[in-house]
Amino acid sequence: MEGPLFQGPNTAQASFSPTMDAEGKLTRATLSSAVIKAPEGQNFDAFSDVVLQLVTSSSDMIQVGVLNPVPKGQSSLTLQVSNEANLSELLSSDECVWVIDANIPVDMMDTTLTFSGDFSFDVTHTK
Amino acid sequence: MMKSIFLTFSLAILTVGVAFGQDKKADQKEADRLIGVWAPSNGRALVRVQNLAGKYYGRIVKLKEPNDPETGKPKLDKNNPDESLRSTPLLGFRMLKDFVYAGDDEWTEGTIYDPQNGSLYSSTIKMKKDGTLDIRGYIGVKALGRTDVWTRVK
Repeated sequence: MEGPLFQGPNTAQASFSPTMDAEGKLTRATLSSAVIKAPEGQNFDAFSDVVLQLVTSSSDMIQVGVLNPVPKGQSSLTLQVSNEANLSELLSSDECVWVIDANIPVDMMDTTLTFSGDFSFDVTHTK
Repeated sequence: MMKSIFLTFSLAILTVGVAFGQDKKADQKEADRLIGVWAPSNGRALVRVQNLAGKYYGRIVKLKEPNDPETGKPKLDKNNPDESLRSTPLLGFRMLKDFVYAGDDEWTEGTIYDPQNGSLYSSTIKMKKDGTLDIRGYIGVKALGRTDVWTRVK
């Protein structure tokens, strides 16, 4: 999330290429866990909440997780994930984009926030 | 003679290529007119439209009444049909999603979400000559829906 960051809604995005090794067609996929991690020595105190979404150029955006409020002093956040959102169409694409929305309570003019994430999916294939 | 024809053909392709590139830039500029901050007619919120991954999305960036009168805390998407997402704050919520520019001052293939009742509608956006937006939400048939007029704030 590149600064300057202004009070209110801000957005970060990162793309990835899903690699579904199993044979057959992907019929159902849900996000089973989503953990966002700050670099060593940093935390997420700048965020009041976090919303996680997935989108591709050919599929609609789907919200898959949320954490509200963000607990203070945490260097890793485990999001509440949606068990209902079927991501099979998105994960069948060549490239997906993670979109992370976060509300920031105060202006942060010289700050750029970087973080990484661990995401697990439950997937079902049919032959 | 053959060389001359080939050269002419190459130049023609180049000309078409340049013209196509200019058209694309013009289309993008036209499409990006949707970017900005807009006020729905009910005056309850401001919505910022941005381009993300080639599509247009609108987020609630200001609420007239940011707190839920029942809890005294910031409003949440408490009517979301997906219970696991009901703690999503309305401030920052993407209520317009996935619009693509179809030309002729119209953005289509999108959805509009009504946080009042948790309903999601198919939606189109038409920019009128006076610069306001006709935002139409509908289920199934476009003719059977409701249109709201949004005014640019920024």
